Amino acid sequence: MRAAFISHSDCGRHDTGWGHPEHVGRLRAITRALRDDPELFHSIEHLEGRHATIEELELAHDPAYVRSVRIIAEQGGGRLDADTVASSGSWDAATAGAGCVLLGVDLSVSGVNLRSFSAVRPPGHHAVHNRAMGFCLFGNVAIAAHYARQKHGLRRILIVDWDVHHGNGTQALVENEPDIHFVSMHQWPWYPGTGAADDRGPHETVWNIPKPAGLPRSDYVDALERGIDAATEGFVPELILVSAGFDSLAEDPLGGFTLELDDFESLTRSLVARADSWCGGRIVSALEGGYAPERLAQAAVRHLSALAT
Amino acid sequence: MSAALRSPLDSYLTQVSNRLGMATKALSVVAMVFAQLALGLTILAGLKWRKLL
Repeated sequence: MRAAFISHSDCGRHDTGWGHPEHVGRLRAITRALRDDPELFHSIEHLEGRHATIEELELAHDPAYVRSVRIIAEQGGGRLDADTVASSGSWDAATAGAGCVLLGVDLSVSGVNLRSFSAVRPPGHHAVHNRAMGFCLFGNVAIAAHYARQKHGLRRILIVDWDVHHGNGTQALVENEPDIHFVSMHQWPWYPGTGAADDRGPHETVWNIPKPAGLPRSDYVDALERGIDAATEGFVPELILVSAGFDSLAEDPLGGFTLELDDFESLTRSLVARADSWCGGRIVSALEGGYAPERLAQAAVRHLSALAT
Repeated sequence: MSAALRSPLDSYLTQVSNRLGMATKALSVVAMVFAQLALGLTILAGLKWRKLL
């Protein structure tokens, strides 16, 4: 079994401008870093994703909102919230971003590629039911969770979000479903201001781990591992989805965590071991944040390397 | 002129001025507190990207 690296050329058409931190150079840096590691490059499967359908987007989003994103893009783009912009290519990029993660689910469930990492943009974990937020248009991972349940009949899904920002959108889109457990470790206090430890969701299926900036890196790793332990006590997931935000790396311009490349590799190896014992190794990971392109790329490569092991 | 020799109007206006000064001071403190709070909330919870501020 080879791990899959999934992306889509349309993800580069979400034009936010080079002055915006979430720019197309992030994906190009990942591709370059992968080319610089020929052994890994040749050991994984490189796949072009697909576009999510409108019906698939509506598994998590308001149809009127989905329509509005399409119309805004058709009209040349615009500003969706204070720091989220859309261009004429954003509809194709956002549907491709979600579609790549859905392909990852298909491949994982079918056993063709049990593990995958989708290098996609725009990211997704802030997008809520009826609006874009924090650079995110559609909740790629949340859509994938609902898709896995509806299309493939899976029931229990674990979502792990290690982006430095709280995955408020993912939480909002899955917290009403008791069989989807969501773990998010994030900087606190920080954008978007949600994700308090006592916010457990209506079914107590949410484990928020707010942490201050600047702690020793092992504190973050240990806290996330404990969070995953708590979320899986008496709960054996059939699929693990990862919101892989690499803005929790030290020196990221939009975060204050201190994680290093080794930490993402060890966290990924830990998840792989857990997935092997719980669900035949199924892990579908998707890029979220990470705004120092070269560092983001190195972290993504280490993450992918651990997935491919 | 000493205070004792001021007209009743002067005395009244002085008292009004003093009260106005105290009210302004109190309102300034309140405004400063809320301004800082609003700025903090905007930075921490309003925008992901500070450059837009």
